[in-house]
Parts: sequence; C-alpha cells; structure tokens
Amino acid sequence: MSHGSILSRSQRAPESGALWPSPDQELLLRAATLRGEPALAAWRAWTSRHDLIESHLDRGSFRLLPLVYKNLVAHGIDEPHLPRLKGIYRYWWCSNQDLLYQAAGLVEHLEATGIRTLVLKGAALSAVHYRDMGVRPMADVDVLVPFEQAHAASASLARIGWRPVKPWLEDEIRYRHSTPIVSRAGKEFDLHWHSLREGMRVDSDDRFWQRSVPLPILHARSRCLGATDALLHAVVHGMRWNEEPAIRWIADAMAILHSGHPIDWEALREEAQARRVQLRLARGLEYLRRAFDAPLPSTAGRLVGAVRPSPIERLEFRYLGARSNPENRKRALQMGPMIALEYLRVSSGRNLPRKITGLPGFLRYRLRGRHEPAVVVVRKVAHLLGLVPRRRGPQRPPIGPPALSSR
Amino acid sequence: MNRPRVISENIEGELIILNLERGCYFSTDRVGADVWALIESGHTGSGILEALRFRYDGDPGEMAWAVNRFVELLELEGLVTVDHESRANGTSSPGPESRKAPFQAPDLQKYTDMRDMLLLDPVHDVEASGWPVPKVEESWPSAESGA
Repeated sequence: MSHGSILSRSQRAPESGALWPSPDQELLLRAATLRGEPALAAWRAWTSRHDLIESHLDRGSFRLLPLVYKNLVAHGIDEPHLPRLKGIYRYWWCSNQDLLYQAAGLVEHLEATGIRTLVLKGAALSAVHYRDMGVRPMADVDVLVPFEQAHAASASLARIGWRPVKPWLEDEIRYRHSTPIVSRAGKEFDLHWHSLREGMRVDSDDRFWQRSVPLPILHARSRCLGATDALLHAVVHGMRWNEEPAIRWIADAMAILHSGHPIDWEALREEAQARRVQLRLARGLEYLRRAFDAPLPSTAGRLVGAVRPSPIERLEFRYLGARSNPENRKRALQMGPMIALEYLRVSSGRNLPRKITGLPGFLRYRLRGRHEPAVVVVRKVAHLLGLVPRRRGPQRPPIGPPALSSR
Repeated sequence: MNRPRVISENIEGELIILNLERGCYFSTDRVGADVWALIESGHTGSGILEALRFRYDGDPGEMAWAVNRFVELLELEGLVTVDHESRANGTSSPGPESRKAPFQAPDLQKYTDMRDMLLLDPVHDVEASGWPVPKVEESWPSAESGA
C-alpha cells in the first residue's frame, strides 16, 4: 500500500472543520469501519468521552451507530449498551426495508413504462457494498433516470399519485440534478436526472450508465453504479457542506474499497477529470488513506492527481471549504462567487453568449424565496444590472421540456 | 414466505419479520427462528417437525401441536402461505438424544404499526433492551404475544 501523498503542496487547502469529521466523529467512524484493535481502541476512546444516552449526538454520528453495532458484534465485544445499539440496528433495518419496498414499486412502474432506472446512494450501497440492509441509514431512496427521460418519468409518476415537492419542475430540471417527489401519503423519494450536481451536461452520466450493473430491488429490477463510479459518487457527493454532518461518505467509501469489487483507477481518473472533481476526489482519497488506512494501490494517488486541476476547479474547491462555514453562506462576498461557480457548472458546455443569456433565468431560480441580507444585496445588484426581471405573478406550471441542446 | 411483501432478518439469533404491506413488525425466539428458516428452505409440516426433533428434546405430540399453532399464526398474519396437506404430525422418528435443547413452544411478538414505531427515538424512547420496546412510561401499546 502506498503512503505517498496524492496531492502536491500547492493543491492542499486548509482543513475545514465542517467539511471533515470532528475528532469525535472520526473516532466513531474508526470504530465503525476499522478492523481489530484500532476499531476497539477508537470505540473505547469514544465511550470515554460520550455516553450513548446522555450525550447529544449529531445526526451524522447517530447514523453511524448501526455500523458500529455490527462491527462490535463482529469483534465479540460485550458492552452495556449493546442491546440498545442492537435496537438502533433493528430500527434502521426496518426503516430501510420500508423505503426499499416503496422504491421497488416505483422502479417497477418506471421500468414498465420504458424509463430506465439506476438506484443511487444508500439503497445501492447497502445491497452491493455493505451487503447488509441495516447498517447504512437512509432518509429516502434516490433513483436516477436518463436526462432525456426526466419529464417522462415525472409524468409517469404523476399518474400513480407522486408529485414534485417543488412546483417549478421545469427549473429544477434545468438548474438542478434532482428533486424530491412526494406521494399522497407523504412518502418521499429523490428523482435524479443527473447523478451529481458536478455534471449537468446532457451526456455527463453516459459512462456511469454504460458501466452500471444490474441491481434487484426486492421484486423490481434496476441498475446501480459500478464500484469505480460508486466510489467517485460517494466521495464527491459526500464532500460538501450539509445541514447534517456529511461524514457517512467516509463509511460508504470504505465499504466500497473493502467490498472486493475491483476499482478501475484509470477510469476513476478520467471520470474525475471530465467532471472537474479531481481535487475533491484526491483530497478525499488522501484523507481515507491517512485516517483510515484505506486499501488504495500505489498508483491510485498518482493517477487521480496526475493532471493539474483547472483554475476554476481549484477556486471551486476553495469555496467548498468556505461554504462549509454556515456564516460564510450568508455573506454577500462569499455568496456571489459561490453562485457564480454553481452557474459555471449548470452552464457547462454552453458557449459564452449562451452562458450570458442564460444567467438571468438561473439567478431568478437561485434567489427565489430567499431573504438573507446577502441575497437581498445580490438581487438588488442583479436588478440594477438588468439581469433579473422585476417580480411577476405567481409561478406557472411547467409547459414542456427544455431544449436539450441548451445544456 | 410471502415475498416480496414479507421480509426477515436474523440478527444475532433473534428473527425479525416485517409484513411491509400491512406495516407490521414481528419478532420470534430461537425455536420460531428455526421454524422460519425451515419454511424458507422449503420444508413442509412433517419435514419441519423432523428437523426440530434433531435439535430439541420434547414430547413429539406437543411439538407437533406447537409447530402447527405457530405456522397457523404466521399464516394468519399473512407471512406465509401454508400447504394444508402437509401439517406436522408427531409420528416421525426422534432424532439423536445428545446435546438437544429442551423444546419450548415458539412465540411470535407482534407490533402492529411499524410507521408509528419508527417515530420513536431508538436511543432515548426505548427500554434498555432496545427498539422497538418503548419505555413503559410512554403509554405505548405493548407487543402482542401470539403463541
């Protein structure tokens, strides 16, 4: 195993407390994902500072507990809270099965109407890499459909009573990678037309689809990402600011790396380069190797970090860390560049005139309903520059699919 | 087993079963888990009993009665579909006598509303035995014992 650095010094950004796990979260992650004495030492250290019942646990840590339970049992550890931890495992096993049952019906319906599906994140990782439906808590199920079938999928789901939570589906498809869909009974899942927000071109997911593998979801047949793409997805999706500490990407990535599915490191490099996420992936892998002794081959670091990231990618990575600070998210000086970088992702593949003409619509969407001081400032500046039309009447329902050529 | 709406998992010797269509949660003991595993592997009434008599020590007639009662409960709850031609009877030959555990009639614990149970905080709202057993002071319906 190589312990050489993946990154050159110039590519290293200062550690962000919010982007990376806290020391206590890292202990719990080690207790959940390592083997042997290092796992047990981490658990002892964590329990010396926390009490399962008395301590306030952040959601990210709470969601690691079923994996901790399974790891403790695998090591034959007997500890006073084991029955309660077992209960937490039961809880998530049941909750996940309930979500899967509902997702299986949706997938079956979509596939029956000719819409291809690919299951992302927790449901796929649990089945293929953790091989356990209770260790990886899920809040919902994420289903990807081909971009060109996004409208058809939404219409098909509407016929069985599922509606987008946000009424402006047209803008969601144009400017986002996914949207929550809700049933009459209040159940929810995420419909994706792009697998990641770091890849909003019509063809961004083509290679993901080509390398995908069959995945049975109870009685339904779907697909999931191959191991190489699942690793990229876990790291890139996970390493971002989130209301809930997004630390489970570490457990997910470790599960993928330990699952025995081969990783095509050259394909990983190509995909990271094409999506302009080399820096994030390299930083993530470097962290996994350093903190969790992740089984990375000696060539992995060199491959992923082989090509110097573009200035925009480096800027984006810098703001990723800044964005991890909630205070920064409200500051106009931080928000402007963040939104600009986001728009560069959204408008990727368009020529300059189309980027310019598409900006007002994006700003209108992006600033909708937000009243933080920074947003008010940005909105006023946009109005002064004539980039955003004055407020009009209520949003009308979508009238048809956007032109694919515009993406 | 009535798949896909029924699904089960053996967690360190404890079997839990979900009827996803009805939203019900069940748990059962070691003998119940053995019966369930035998049903899953395609055994029918007399085959189940024969296999149990290799593992447990008990009166063949009582074992047959208890197993039939347990399987009836599983059927009543929509967890399995039973071939009524193949009920267990106590006439099969006993298994080896050594190292057999005493037979106890299998028990089926039922919690009727899984979605409500999932609203419980599995750390703080439960007894020390863990979710789904709620704290007693929470005026929550306790599990029904089926057998």
